[in-house]
Amino acid sequence: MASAKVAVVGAGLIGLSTALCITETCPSCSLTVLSERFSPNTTSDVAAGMLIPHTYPDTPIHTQKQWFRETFTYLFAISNSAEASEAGIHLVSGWQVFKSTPKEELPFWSDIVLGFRPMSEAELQKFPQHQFGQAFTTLKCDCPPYLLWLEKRLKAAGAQMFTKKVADLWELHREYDIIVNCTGMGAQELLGDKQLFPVRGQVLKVQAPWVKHFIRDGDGYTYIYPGIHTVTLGGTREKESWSLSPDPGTSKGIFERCCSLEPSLQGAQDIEVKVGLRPSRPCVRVQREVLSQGGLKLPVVHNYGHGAGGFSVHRGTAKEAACLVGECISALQGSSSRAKL
Amino acid sequence: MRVAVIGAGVIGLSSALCIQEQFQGLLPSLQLEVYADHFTPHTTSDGAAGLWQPYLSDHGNLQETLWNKETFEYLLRHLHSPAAQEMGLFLLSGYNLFTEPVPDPSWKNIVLGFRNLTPKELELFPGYSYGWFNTALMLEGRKYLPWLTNRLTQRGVKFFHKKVESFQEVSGDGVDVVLNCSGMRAGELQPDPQLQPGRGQVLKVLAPWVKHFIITHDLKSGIYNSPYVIPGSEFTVLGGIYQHGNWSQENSAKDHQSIWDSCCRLLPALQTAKIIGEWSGLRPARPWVRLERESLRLGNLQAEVIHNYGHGGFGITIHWGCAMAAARILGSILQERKQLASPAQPRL
Repeated sequence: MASAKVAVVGAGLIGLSTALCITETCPSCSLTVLSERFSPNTTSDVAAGMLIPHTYPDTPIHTQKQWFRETFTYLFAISNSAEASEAGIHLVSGWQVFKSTPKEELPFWSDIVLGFRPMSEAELQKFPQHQFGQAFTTLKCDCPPYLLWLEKRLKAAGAQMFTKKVADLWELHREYDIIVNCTGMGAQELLGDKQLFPVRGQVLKVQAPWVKHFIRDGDGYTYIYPGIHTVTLGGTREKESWSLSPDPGTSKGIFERCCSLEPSLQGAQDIEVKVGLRPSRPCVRVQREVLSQGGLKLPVVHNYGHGAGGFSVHRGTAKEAACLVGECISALQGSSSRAKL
Repeated sequence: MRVAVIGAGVIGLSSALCIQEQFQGLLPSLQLEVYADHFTPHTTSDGAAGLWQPYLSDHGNLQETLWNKETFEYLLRHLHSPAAQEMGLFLLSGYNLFTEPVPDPSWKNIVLGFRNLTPKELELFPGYSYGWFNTALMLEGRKYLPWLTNRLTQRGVKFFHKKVESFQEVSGDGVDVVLNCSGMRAGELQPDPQLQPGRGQVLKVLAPWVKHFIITHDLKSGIYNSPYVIPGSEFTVLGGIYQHGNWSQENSAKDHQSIWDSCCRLLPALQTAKIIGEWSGLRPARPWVRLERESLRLGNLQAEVIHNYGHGGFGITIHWGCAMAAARILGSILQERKQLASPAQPRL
């Protein structure tokens, strides 16, 4: 058969990185990205983009570790190249602090980030309300830069991008051979996936260029993540909340919690509020499916449900999804050659 | 009683503040005066990146190691104060890189989280096979000096913009104690062949994606003659020049190229950084800091001079320990003159 026509639906972090992987593993494919929204208006643009994994209860740990390792290795190389500033990738060191010592002192990713070790007594003095902490160095992907960099590489690889709201995957079956579903929270409306639910996150983006370290409370609610131009202060984890409107009371709460971890933030300027809905799921859905309708077949590769951990595993899941696209292509080629017989 | 401070860099201003804080209450008649021909932002302290880090070896100057420690601890105590941002004070972590294993430095237990680099971290720095990671402090001269100046002005310290040509000029007329914080030009007030310029040049660039300091060391070429990158709150400083005996404060095109090339090799991500400025300055280098008292006959007057100069490339690192030591010397002078009832207790 002629080279496969692949449509990737969704142009957030997952859609763009998956599309890029597909151009790498299948250079002869014709690739189109279709999305209702592009950077800077995606959920990914709200996130700080820190490589600190979220643990999915229903994905095997060794898989999550592999995804994280692949992502870390990929971004590590970019951070140490001349492309680093354009791609928005940089190393950042800091501390994860706990009010009481956690059951698991060594998370599964501790040997992938750099220099992971428990904090010393002297270091903990900076956090009088916290008893235990971990110091390490990890990577941060700033958005929009990272998404724009992915878009640029996609264009260079011959991919096309169109703004289009896809209400039904079957809309695409005439023009495309394979659909890659990277719609994040949009998969709920598109597929009716009951396991997918929003976890609302509100953040502040502020000017505080003297803040050079990340600080994260191990409970996951309060964090300070310094990016290239702004510092992201967070946050909230509101399950099943669909509201994209910033809540002023929440902003005040976030600011106070962050100032108690880092008092110098009192001097932060130009506070901007953002809201995003983490597309959460007990496990990330990276899966092949063949949809059928009235004798027609539509191969679909799903890659959605990354919740709070999208940045940490994006390259790993993108590669896996690209692999599944490869399998779809083989299956199509197999059936088309069978059709010739 | 009047005390004249010569020099308004980090040493002069901090010594003045330390003395003011300790003695104002005990001696209401104390009047401090600061004399300088250069004030912030035109002092040597303003050009320095502001990283707290002593040299690799203290050459047996244990006194200096103690002053470094006092300074770090003093600054650490101020880290969470509302003044920290105005002072230009913040934590900064980073890397010291070597081409061979070296002994741990005297300051390993002063900084936070000191450790050796892991093999994966060393992959970031081809050509370097050994190194340290630690969390230290930044104290930016361009913010700290104005902060010190404001505090001093609030406390009634007077400033005089003039080039002091001799100790005699500022002594007499009730000024019995002169604090000599003249840095590089101390030799003009009193010859000191041990004081030599350690010329440095830096590029100021915009590279806000760099969040760590990186200091390389070439044990053969000596301190600061190997590339370094130090991110500040407004720009990043690239350096790696130390020319002993060179008095030129003109920027050299050759040094510019050498700094740029070597720093970009060290950190490829710098290639897209925008250069926004350049500066050369003279580190007031001396085998050890001159911090001592000298009684001088100036005309028909007897004056006490407290010397506090020769801090090389570690002035910011050591400044508060020296300021406290200078204040202690003043305390003993005051005690001798029975101007203080009991030995001056330094107020921490």
